[in-house]
Amino acid sequence: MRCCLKIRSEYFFSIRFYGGVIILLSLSGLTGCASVEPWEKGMLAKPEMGWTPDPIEAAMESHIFFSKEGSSGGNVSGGGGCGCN
Amino acid sequence: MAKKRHQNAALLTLVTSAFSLPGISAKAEGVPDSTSVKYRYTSYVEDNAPERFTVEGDLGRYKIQANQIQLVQPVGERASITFDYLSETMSGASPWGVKQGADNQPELIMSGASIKEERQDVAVRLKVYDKESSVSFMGGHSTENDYKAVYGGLENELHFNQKNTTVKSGLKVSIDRINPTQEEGQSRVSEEEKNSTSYSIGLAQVLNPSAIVQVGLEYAQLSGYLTDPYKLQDSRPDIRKQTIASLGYRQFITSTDSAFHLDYRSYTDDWKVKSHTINVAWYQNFGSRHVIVPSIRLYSQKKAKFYGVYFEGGEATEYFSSDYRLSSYEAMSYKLKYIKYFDTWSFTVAGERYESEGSSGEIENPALVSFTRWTVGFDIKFD
Repeated sequence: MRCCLKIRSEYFFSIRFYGGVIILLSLSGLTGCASVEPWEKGMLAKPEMGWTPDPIEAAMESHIFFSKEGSSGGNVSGGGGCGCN
Repeated sequence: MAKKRHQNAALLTLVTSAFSLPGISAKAEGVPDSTSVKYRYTSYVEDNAPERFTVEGDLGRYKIQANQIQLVQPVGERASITFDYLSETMSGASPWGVKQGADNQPELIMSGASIKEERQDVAVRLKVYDKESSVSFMGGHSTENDYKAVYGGLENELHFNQKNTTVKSGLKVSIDRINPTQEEGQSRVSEEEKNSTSYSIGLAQVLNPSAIVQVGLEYAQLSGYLTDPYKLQDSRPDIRKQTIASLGYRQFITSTDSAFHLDYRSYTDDWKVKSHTINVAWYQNFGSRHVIVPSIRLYSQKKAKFYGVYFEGGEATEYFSSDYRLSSYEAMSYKLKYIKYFDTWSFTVAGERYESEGSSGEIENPALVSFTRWTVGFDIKFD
């Protein structure tokens, strides 16, 4: 698995590329965003379209990554705790 | 709950439409329509420390078992209150540091397996909704035998353009107190404080009836004792300034009855740590009662300016750490989640595998963590 990870790790360096794609996607969407009427928002109201569909599990994930990685933030608050070990 | 899930989406659309008509008053949009309870049990198990690099201490790393309960209660027509409770037990060995062996081979020093801790976290959030805005007040308290944190925050949402545009802002504060437990042969601080404050602002924009995008910016400042008291020769600056930019995108695909999630985060701080995180998830509905969610997360980090893989000689410089979390590395995690909806409740099970390894061109810190996580739980809605 680790050797596969090594091969796949090369793709990490294209993260900036993916980031650029998202920015372009966002900008292209923003420039063309016609006003969506309230009765057209059925799909957007679905629970699976939420920013954080499962906040309780997201809080746990956020706390794990806060404790085990060198950077954090930008998402659901993971609560307090040392995260020292 | 399965039928209700689809009915609720339709109902929400109707309610949203009703709000757009003048003179119609109803429960404020977003206020939960009933009491709900969520429960999750999580098992987190780290892989053993690598035997060929470990020269001292126990190989068996951290295991955590956690129970979480969340209660959401509507309060009148314009508010809701959320209680969160977490209890977790942690046990196992933890990396203390890495020393230089023969032929520059890193040698890992682990603690004994005697670490056993418990943490409890209680938080409450009051959210008040208005026609074109909402404001949330939250506070919480986390306690473990060597660490206590009191935290609070304020969040605000303002809706514009028929609620197609939302501006969000937030403030979070945490005051932490550290009382490290002393191990024989270790010299540690007896009591220190750490404070953190973060400010965030974000913009969410509906693009079309099936897509929405969100951008966010956060600035956080940590001050006080930021050194890890459980590492050998660890000394870090007493201030850390973090900047985080984030992007999110959601797209519903009608033809396959699925939702696509894309999240990206860029992080940088004045310790020179930089990271990029991408998370991609696919919510696939099978009828109205089954959802399967595969997801993948990629993480890439550049080391802190005072990081060195070997802790020896660290006393010669003002700041130094051989903590693997401050090294240059990459990580990938895969997660698969299944949700089964019944009439009044739903069942959730999720499994995640996380693996990390050092960046090419760097000596890999043998303490880099890989873990497996399982979460099971249920959500109940009371009418």
